[in-house]
Amino acid sequence: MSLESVLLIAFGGIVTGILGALFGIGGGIFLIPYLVLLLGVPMHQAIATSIVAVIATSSAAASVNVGRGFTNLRLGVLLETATTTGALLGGLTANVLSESVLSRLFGALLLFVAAVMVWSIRRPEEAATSTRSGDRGKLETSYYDPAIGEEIRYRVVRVPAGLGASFFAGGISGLLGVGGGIIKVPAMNLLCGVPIKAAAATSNFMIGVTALASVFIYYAHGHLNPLVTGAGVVGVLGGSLLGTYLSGKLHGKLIAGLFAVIMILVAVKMLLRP
Amino acid sequence: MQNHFIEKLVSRTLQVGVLASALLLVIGIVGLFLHPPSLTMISTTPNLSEFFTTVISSPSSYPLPVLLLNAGLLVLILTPFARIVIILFGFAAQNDWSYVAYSFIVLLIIIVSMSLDIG
Repeated sequence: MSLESVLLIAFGGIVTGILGALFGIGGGIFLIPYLVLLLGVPMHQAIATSIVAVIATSSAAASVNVGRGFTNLRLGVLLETATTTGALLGGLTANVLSESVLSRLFGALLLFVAAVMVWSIRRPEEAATSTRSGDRGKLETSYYDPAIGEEIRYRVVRVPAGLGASFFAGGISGLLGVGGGIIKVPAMNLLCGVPIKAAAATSNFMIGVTALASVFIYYAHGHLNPLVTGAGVVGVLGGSLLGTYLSGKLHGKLIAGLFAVIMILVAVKMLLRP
Repeated sequence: MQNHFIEKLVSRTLQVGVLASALLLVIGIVGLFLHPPSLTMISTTPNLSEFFTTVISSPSSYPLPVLLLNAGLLVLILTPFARIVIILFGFAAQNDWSYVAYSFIVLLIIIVSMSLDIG
């Protein structure tokens, strides 16, 4: 690998970090196809790079969200028992699967993410908070939402369903090097009654630890190239900061629609990879 | 120990961890451009135990930029680990033993995963 490639990886990291922050779905979903399809990085190495980048971006975002009180720490720790188990198994599975099988699985994930993006464009703005019964004691909590100037109180319901979705999200994270927020956030919101802001913050809080459960497996198999990963992490981290700044200035729905189309094209390319 | 205090501590730990690792990685990458070592040295990944043994026994065998790159990744990877430990002690200070148990399970899973690398 040449030092010029390092610059290309860092550049790709910046672009994917911006996109990840703009759409709130993490940089991995864009970084992996960039590394694999454009730079020819092996799939396992790209996944390992992405999983470390995911630790960086989620830790940075979680440090802000936890400080603001949006994160439900107890719910996060409880669901982490499932996400880390899933991630450990996902990481072990990824390392016995071939490059082409992983590419196809990633292509399928991209199609799913594109579908969720299209669905979220068409969906009316969510404003509801949970009022359902089924209190789980300490899982009832509140946070102050400065956007509406109100204290939002909610209780978590259907915890077993949340644990199941978290196990699945963790598995996808360990297997394909993504954060898994695309599964956890809707699950916490729709199944467990957690308001979307708290669900996104709690999901982000869990992502770093979830990724940690599989990163050592990639380390052990020698897939973690420090140069590729270091450049990718620095790029994605810088891009995420820039993307967070830009997110308030762009018309999200139009760009999300465009990117859903691009993601479908990239998904097809990943699915057809030998 | 109040929830608010744990939140502040967790937030600060994550912040410091990410900043420190980003700094190490940036210095490492810049160092590679200024004093490029043999690229084969960069492409081979030492696992955690190899990395620690080499650093402790003969740190000079690693070119400084490569050492910084690996150290940056290690700091980043250990940041969420530190977060689990802080939360575990935070719940213990609140006598919230069921959540101490959940945190301990998470810690155990991470240690099992870590042992796959070290072992």
